Amino acid sequence: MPLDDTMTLTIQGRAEAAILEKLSKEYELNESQRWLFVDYSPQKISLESQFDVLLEGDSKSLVPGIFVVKVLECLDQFGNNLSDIPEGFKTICKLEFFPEVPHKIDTLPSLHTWKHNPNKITLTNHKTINLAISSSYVDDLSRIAYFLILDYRNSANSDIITKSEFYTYLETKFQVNSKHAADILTVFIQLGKIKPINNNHIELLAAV
Amino acid sequence: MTEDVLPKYVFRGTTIGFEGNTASMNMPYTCTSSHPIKALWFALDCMSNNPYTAIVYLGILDRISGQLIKGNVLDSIEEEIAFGMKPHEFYNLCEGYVHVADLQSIVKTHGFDTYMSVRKDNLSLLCEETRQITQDEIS
Repeated sequence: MPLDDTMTLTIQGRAEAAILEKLSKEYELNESQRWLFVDYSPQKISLESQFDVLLEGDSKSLVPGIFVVKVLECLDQFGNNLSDIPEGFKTICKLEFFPEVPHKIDTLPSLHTWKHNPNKITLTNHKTINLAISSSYVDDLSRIAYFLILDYRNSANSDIITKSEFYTYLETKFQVNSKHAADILTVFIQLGKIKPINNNHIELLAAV
Repeated sequence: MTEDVLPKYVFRGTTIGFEGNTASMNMPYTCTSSHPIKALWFALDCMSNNPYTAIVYLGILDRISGQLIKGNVLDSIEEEIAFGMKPHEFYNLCEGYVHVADLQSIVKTHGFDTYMSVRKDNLSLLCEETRQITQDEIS
């Protein structure tokens, strides 16, 4: 996702009255409020938190308009009321929109459960938004960088290098910052191309 | 795996000894999956902050005795089974855990390519696209 170190909330679709009934919860809404299925949260978000930017779809294109969105209530999959949106949780949240509910929210699909939606809406804030780099860019860069790293390994005559060397190499070659270099290292580890040895050293592996 | 038949095994992708968040500890509950690959996606997501301790716990349902099994009242793409206990209590009843890299290697021999870039924003899609697995395959 393109929003590093930023509070984001991803809405997959609408939760209708029948869903709240299943969870033994009151559906009660005024016209500026909606119950919505919210995807795994990348961070803890307090109730009453506010957002003022809406981004649409996997490409996260900006939804034009001036909005303020507030988190009012949060339920887990068992219908428990939560005091915040926990990191890593999928939730159903009651959100309030000012000055009105955006059309893009009301045209989200009505869902029976959490479901990937390529037209999802991501909420974030102007103040902290960072569109400098996207997750797909990190993935693409990782593919290119791997071959350069293999060259680097050959020239270094060792499969084991320090994390610092790895970050410096990426920062020099691709003008990425240390956070993004760390993201690329994570992708390499997930792909089985790098094995962490300890806190300071990593081992470059042959392609899986 | 049908919804009506309880699985033999449950899996939890997390980090070693992770206590869970406040909600998990207060309710308490521990969420697991009956699908090892889906649990592995969660463990892979944990790698971004915990590259050395991301693992998948393995539990045998029969041995996690006397514990309330809570059902997700909504359909669950994670094939979720939740236990009414704190995560650390669940870990004590588990058979053990497997490191992510080892599990990736094991499941590859069974036709699951899990060498993927995993983040919170593609977890749902990965779970939805993961094919069903039989109890025989897991065994």
